[in-house]
Amino acid sequence: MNLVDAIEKKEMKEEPPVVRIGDTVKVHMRIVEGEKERIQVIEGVVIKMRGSANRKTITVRKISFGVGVERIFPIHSPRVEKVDILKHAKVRRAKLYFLRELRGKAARLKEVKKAPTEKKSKVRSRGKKAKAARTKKAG
Amino acid sequence: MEALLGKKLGMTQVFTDKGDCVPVTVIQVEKCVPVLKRTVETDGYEAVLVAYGERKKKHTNKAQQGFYAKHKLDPAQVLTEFRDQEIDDDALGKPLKVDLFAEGDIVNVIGTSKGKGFQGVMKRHGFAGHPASRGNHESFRGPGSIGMATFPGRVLRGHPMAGHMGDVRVFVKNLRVVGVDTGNNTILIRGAVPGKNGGLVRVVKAQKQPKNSNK
Repeated sequence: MNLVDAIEKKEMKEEPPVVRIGDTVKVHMRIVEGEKERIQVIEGVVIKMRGSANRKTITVRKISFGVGVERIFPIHSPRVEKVDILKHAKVRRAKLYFLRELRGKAARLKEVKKAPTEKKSKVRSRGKKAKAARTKKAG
Repeated sequence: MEALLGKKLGMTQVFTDKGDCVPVTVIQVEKCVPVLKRTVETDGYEAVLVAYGERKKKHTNKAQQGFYAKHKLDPAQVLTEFRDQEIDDDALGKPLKVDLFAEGDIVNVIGTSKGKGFQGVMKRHGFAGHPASRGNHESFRGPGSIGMATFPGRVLRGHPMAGHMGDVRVFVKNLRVVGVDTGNNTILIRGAVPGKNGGLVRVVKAQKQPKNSNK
């Protein structure tokens, strides 16, 4: 493994929260104010995920006192205590920016009870890697 | 000896104990051997000659082969000197370890920046360019006036113009060492370091160290 990847892996949480786009989540954030430390909970919809390995972040959108608020959480940060997933939603795109334009009832997502299963990675049928895999299987 | 040559592997980020996210550059020291001392008596200045990496004999030219044979060394990828460094005689010939730096140390990093090719004055010197509208035509990214008229009748020396940008030696001062991994012989340095991934950089301990330094 490349050394940079190894460092990133070491920095990752052992059990990172499995979050999907459109999930309604409760993020428990550790906040240090001077000497004191408290946990703040932010509840909202995950509208964006970006980055990989230890750099992965989620953007959580909520309506607070009638104003839309988005917060970005690096999910591998030690300050993110835990992420509770309240419900999953049926979504058809990777970034839910359209929610920013919508208010009230229109800004709801259709809930799905079960977490969508992970799509199987496409099996390569052409190219060098596929050929190598085939010969490996046969041999 | 508080300097070494290393390979820039790339950048990533790490979290501190407090939870702060720190951008870091990973530098690996593969094979960095101090081989020779330059002294005032023999050479007129103090320095340590360092050999980095390996080179096949057939790729080494005759002049260098002669140098390596004279000092009974293996051909190296890079030979370079670090001025004003002190080293014990028995440390010569032994590869440098990254543990000559500790977490929290302040270092200077010297490398060769990425080459940008022939660039115009806006990118190369930060000129403002010209308006996109209001009757302007043909000239949008040009330098504008480059001097006066009959007096002095020439362009002043050193006037910023378009030309080759990048691929020059860049010195970055006062970067903090965030982590030291003796197993892989790598160090993590806060912030960016000149050059592309895979490029060689010189890491030298800075004169200025934090007050609560552990050394």
